Amino acid sequence: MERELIGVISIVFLIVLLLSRMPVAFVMLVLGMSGIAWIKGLSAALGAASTIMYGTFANYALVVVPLFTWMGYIGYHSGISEHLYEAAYKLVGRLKGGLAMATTMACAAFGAICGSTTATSATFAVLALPEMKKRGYNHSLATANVAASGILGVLIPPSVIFIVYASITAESVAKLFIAGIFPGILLTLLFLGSTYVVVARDPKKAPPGPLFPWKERLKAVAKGGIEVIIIFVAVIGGLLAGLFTGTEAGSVGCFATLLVVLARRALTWKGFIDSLKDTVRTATMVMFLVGAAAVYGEFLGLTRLPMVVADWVVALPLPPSIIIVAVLIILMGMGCFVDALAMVLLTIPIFYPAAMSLGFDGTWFGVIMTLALGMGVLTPPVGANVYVVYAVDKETPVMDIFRGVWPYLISLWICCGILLLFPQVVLFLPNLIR
Amino acid sequence: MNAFDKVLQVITEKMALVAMFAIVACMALVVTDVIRYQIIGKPVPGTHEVVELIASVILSMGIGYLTFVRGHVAVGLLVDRFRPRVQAFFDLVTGVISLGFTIWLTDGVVKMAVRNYNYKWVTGVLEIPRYPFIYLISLALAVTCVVLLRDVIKSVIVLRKGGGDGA
Amino acid sequence: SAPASARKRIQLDFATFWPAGDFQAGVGHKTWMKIIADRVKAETDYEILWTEFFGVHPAKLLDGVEAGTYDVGTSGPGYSPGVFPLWAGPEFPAEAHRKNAYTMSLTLQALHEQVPELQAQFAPTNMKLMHFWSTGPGYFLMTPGKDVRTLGDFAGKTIRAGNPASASTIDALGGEALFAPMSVALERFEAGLVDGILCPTDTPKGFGLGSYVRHVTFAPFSYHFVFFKVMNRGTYDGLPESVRAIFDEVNAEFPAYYGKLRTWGEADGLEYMKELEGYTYYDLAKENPAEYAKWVAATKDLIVEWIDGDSTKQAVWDKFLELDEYYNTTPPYSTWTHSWPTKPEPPSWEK
Ligand code: NA
Ligand code: NA
Repeated sequence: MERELIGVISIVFLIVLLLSRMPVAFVMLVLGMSGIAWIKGLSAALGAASTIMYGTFANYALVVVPLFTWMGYIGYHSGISEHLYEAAYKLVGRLKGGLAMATTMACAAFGAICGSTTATSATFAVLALPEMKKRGYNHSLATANVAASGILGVLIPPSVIFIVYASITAESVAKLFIAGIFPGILLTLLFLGSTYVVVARDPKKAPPGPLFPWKERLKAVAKGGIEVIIIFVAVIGGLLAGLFTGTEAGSVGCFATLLVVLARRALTWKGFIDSLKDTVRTATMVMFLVGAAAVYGEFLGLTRLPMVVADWVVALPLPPSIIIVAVLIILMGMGCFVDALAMVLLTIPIFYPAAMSLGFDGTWFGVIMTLALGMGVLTPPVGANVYVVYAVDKETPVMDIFRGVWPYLISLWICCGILLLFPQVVLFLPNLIR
Repeated sequence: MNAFDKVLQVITEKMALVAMFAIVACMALVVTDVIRYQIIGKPVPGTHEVVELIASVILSMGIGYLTFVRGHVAVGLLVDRFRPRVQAFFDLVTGVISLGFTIWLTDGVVKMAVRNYNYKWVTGVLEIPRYPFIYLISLALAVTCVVLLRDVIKSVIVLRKGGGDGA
Repeated sequence: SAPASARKRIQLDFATFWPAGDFQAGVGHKTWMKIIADRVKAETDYEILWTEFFGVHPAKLLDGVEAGTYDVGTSGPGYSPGVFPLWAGPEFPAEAHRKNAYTMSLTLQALHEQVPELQAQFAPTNMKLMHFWSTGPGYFLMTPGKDVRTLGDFAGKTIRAGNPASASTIDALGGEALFAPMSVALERFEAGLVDGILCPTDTPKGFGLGSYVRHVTFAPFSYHFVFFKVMNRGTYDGLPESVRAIFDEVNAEFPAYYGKLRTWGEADGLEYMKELEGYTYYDLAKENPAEYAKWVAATKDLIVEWIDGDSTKQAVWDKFLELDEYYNTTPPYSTWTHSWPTKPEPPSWEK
């Protein structure tokens, strides 16, 4: 049988097994090993799977995944996230939709120390949802806002997604981190805009919160902001100044965060242990997925399907920007059904070569892929952030959360459009350094 | 079943504890390295290869725990709508497939460890042998197999009793 | 030979760590595959279909060939420390000729053929050797303002080494060695944490090092790096005898061709560097022979330490020096010159 056809058959099986509630990592492992066995024999499949698993686990570039995850959990268990929310709450809570806006702003700030999108959403589901509900917020709006704002956690550096993307494509982590800053700010503003429009159309959805005197507001901002600013400046500043590399920034970031929270006596021994335990669970989940996806990716490489698709896409008689829009639509479609990280892992081997042949910048494409992932974690039926929010707040039905998500999806599309028309938004900062 | 569960819990949690310690060790090593080369111009020799080995410890020691607490991502969209017995049937089938392939993979990693031992493949600077770390991964996978076996048994119980605890 | 319909297809997967755009993959490996495929088609009833994988991680490559994921792969003894311990020796610094990649490739292929202990190192593996080849002599490629021209210049400079021999060389010269894979090195170059690299001159173009390095110091005593191409043993044993024979014949020709090609590629890389702003070139042996002698003296004990009284290691080293002398001073090997810059195209394969 033609190898390309074997690749296509595997994709059919992929969908079937995913729908049968088999854990995504095992689906990819099983299909990758079976596929390699089909093409190259049993011993080749076994050899490939074991060396790839070892290669993923003992990988210098990927060790930052647990570290940037830990950084976020230290922030959570030491109350940094709480201070951030309080600051944003006191600052803009008075406005219509102000509490939702405060959540978005706090997520963006928390993104500066947390590398994971689900961790960001989970953190603020705990902090912000009770407050919004107490003030009579529409549940659908409140939960969707938290789910969407979590995306800022992977767009604003540090970002686990950028690290994984860089490890597959050999793009520079440092460049991707820097490149994420402006799009992160842009998306924050667009999310604020989404909330504003929703509330302007139906003010009952988001009654204003209490008014705090300016002195109290400034005090809260100082208290909440200072920790994050110190950590962010230490990590990103050190990275920019060439004090350490993007890979080392994970360890330096954890160390800086620990120093800050210890100086403020904000972290208990129990909090420290809990932060590590949460990290082991999250990081192992991500890395097992990455390893399994690498086995499946190896198989796809052997089928030559990615190369065939890339050649086909490049040969299309369409302008490159239209092709990228098509890629985004495919990703969004896939993102509905496949776990977003798994989707990025599965499609990078196919779309990255295509994007490169079309002449796009690898850093820019990394940001675009991250935005596509952002759509994936929000869209039904499989939207990780929505389920994370649901896990924290069982009161709001999942479909209600999904129903509230569309204004934020529009923001994500607008953000992609702006980056497509003005790639400088992404590339300005990285080019400045070069 | 409960005793079996309890033993598995203790084992996977102890392993997770090793992983937690490894995370802290990794941070300490890299920070020391950065400070050393920034201040006295001399990095800690072989940092990147030790970091790689520590990373393999973090992730292998975490897998059993992850599987035990059912931390893997799965797409429940369709199966979640079914009756518990039908759900248990799906979980049984996919569980057996997962278990079979994980046993196979464990065997592959053991073979890889043996191969590396025979070759005397070491890291470049400190000449640390790779094979103990590969054995460690195979051990972690073996524990994961046991956890997956537990899940399969639970599905069988649900199928036979016809309801109740829908795994 | 048979008509196309009657041909039996053999599908083979070829993997290499070089990026597709590098001459070693784009010209060298592709030529090897094509020559073999053409001859198999012309002389047997079989047909070979190659699938190519470029930019594969070196460590994964060796495992992949071993396991049979890839049928053919390229690596080097330096990429899997401990597995080919005797090969570490010939990469140590010494006042050998190390004229160019062509003479070095012939030297190292002959070394393998003439020393049974070196051949024996492949015995416990699941790999069948195709052939060896080598880089040319070493250069210190340094970032702007970090030029090295005297021993004193090495103090406080971090230089990337690609194998254990180079790491101890850099330390012996007074520098600080960063012995790490190219991916780690590139990240450190980007952060400005590495001041240079000891390697041949094709890397600025082929691996993108041209964004960082500007100063070239020619130091032929210091370095060469050995490569080999291997096939999964099961794949090789499973090939029809007529096809195996063609592989063997073509492989016998290829150390010479890859050597010529690399000599061209390293010259081509240097030409590329000349266009970079701030480029400088320093031939230490020519400009300051007394200083060059000091560098050689500073590193001459490294090989003694490696041999450490072991008679096998001593024999490998003596044979290396003998063959180095032979191929670098005996025509036609010693008199061959590459075509740069009068003919910018890479040398084409001819039997
Ligand atoms: Na972040
Ligand atoms: Na989705």
